[in-house]
Amino acid sequence: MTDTAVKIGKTILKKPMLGASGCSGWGDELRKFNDFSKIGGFVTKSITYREKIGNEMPRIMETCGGLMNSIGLENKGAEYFIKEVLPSLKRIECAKFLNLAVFEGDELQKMMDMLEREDGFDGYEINISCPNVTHGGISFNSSLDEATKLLKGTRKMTERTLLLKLSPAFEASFEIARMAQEEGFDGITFTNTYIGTAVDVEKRSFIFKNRQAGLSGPSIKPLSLMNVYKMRKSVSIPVIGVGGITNLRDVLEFLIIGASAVQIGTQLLVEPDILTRLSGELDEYMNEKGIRSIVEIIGSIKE
Amino acid sequence: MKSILLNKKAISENLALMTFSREGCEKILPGQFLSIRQTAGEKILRRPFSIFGFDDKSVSVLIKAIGRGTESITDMNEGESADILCPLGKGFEEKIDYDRTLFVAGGIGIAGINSFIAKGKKAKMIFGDREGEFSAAADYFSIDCLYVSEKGKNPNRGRVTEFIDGFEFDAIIACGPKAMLRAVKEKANGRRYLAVCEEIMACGVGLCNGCAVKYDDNTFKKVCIDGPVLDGNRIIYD
Repeated sequence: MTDTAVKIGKTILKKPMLGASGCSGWGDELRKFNDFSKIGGFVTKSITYREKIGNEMPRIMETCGGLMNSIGLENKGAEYFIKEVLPSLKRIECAKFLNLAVFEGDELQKMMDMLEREDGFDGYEINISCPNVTHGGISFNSSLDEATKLLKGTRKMTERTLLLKLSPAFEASFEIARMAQEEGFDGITFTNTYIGTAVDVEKRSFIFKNRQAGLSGPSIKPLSLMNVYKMRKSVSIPVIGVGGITNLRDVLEFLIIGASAVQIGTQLLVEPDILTRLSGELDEYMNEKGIRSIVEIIGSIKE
Repeated sequence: MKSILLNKKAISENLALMTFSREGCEKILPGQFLSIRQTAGEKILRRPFSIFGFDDKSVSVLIKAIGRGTESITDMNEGESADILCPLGKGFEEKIDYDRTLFVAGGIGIAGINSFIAKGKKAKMIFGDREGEFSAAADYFSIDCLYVSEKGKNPNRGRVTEFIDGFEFDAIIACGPKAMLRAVKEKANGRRYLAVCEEIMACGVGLCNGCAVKYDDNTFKKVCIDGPVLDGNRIIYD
C-alpha cells in the first residue's frame, strides 16, 4: 500500500495534485469527468469582492505548445458565490480551495469576513498575480511593501489553510513568499502565468485588448520548474508547483525538484479527467517502483 | 472518450464529413457540438465542431480544415480512434415550427444548422457562401435550400441577408460568420432570432470562460455551456 497523501497547512491532499484556479471552473463542471473521492482537489476560479464581468474578446489564443489567456477574473462576486456556488461545492468530497483576488486593500478582509461564516471548503489561495486586470491585482505582487500592506494580518482572519499564489514576472515574489511565511501562510503556489503578448500583423495591433495576456501550457514547464526550485530554496513552507504539467512524468519532475504538490491548469482544459487519470497512474508508478510514501519523492533531487 | 472514425468523405478540397462511432455519447439535441483532441504536435487544445448529423450508432461532423490542428483530424484514416467529448453545449429542446422558422447558414455555418432539420421535414433555408466553395456540399447533402453566393457562377447572387425579405417567418435560426449574424439581427427586426454561435474555445466544458459572447446588458454568456444557441437579438457583435 502506497501513501500518496501530503499535508499542506491543515489540509490533507489524498494525492499531491490539484486542479489550478481558472481551469477548474467552480468544481461542479469537473464532476462529469472525475471521481472526486480519488483526486487531491482543486482551486476555484478567482472570487472578487464585487462582480467582475471579465475582459472583452478575444480571451484566448493558442500558441506553439501553449495557451494565452486574458479572461479577466470573470465572476459574480463573493456574495453570489456564497449564495449560489458554495452549496454545490459542499457536495464535493476532495480538498477545495477558494481563490481570492483583490483590487483594493480592504476587499480581502471583507471577503474573508463573509466566507469565514461558511463551511464547505478547506482553505484560501490569495491571488495577487493575475496578469489580466488593469489595476490592483498584480501590482500587489510587484513590491514587498505593497504585498506586506495587503497581507499583514491575514493569518488572524482564518484558521483554514492559507496559500499565496505568486507571479513569475517579479523578482519580488521570492521575498514576498518569505514575508508570507513569516505571516503564517501555509504554502506558496508558484507560478501563475507568464506575461506575454501577441500581435495582429494585418491590423498592426495587439491581439488582446489589454495588450498583455498570461501564457500557460507545456511551453512554460522548464521556466516554472526552475522557478519552483528557486522558491523551494527561498522558503521552508510547502511550494505548490504549477506550470505546463501534462503527464505523470511532469508531476514527478516538480515533486523531485521540491514541490510538495502540483497544480494542473491548461491540460485540464484539454483532458478534464486528467486529475483522476494521473491519480491512478501515480499509484501504479509508486507500486511498480516500490516507493512507499510520496515523501520519498518530494525534494529528492540530487544537488 | 475513444471513438472510431467509421467513415471519411472528402466533400471538396478542404471540407470533409467525418463520421465517428458514438460510444458513451448520451442523447444529442440540435445545436450541440463535440470536441476532438487534435494531434498536431505543437498545438494543444481540442477543436470544437457542430454536430452535423447523428444516428443511434454514429455522430458526424463537417470539418473545414484551416490549420494544422484541424488538418491533423481530417488526415485521420478510417478505423483510427480519436479522443472525443460528446455531446457538449446546451441543446435546443423546443419543438420547431418549420412553417414559421427561417434557417440561415453562412459557409461552414451549415454544420451548425443541419442538425435542426429533422428527417423528412421541409425547412425554409438560405445557405450562402462567398464564391461557390460550398456548392459541392450543397449538392452532396441535397440540402433543400436557397443556395446563394456573393460572387461566381451561382445565379442567386448576393449575401444571405439580401434574400431574407423574400421569406415569411416568425423566427430565424442562423449560424455563420459574426458579420453575417450581425446583419441577420437587423433583418429579424424584432422577431425571434436564435444565433448558433461559434467561438474559439479552450475547454468547451465551462471550465475556463474563454468563449464569451457579450449581451446587451453587459454580461457575458459562455458559448460552450450557456450556448451555442443564444439570443441573437441580445448579442453585441463587435
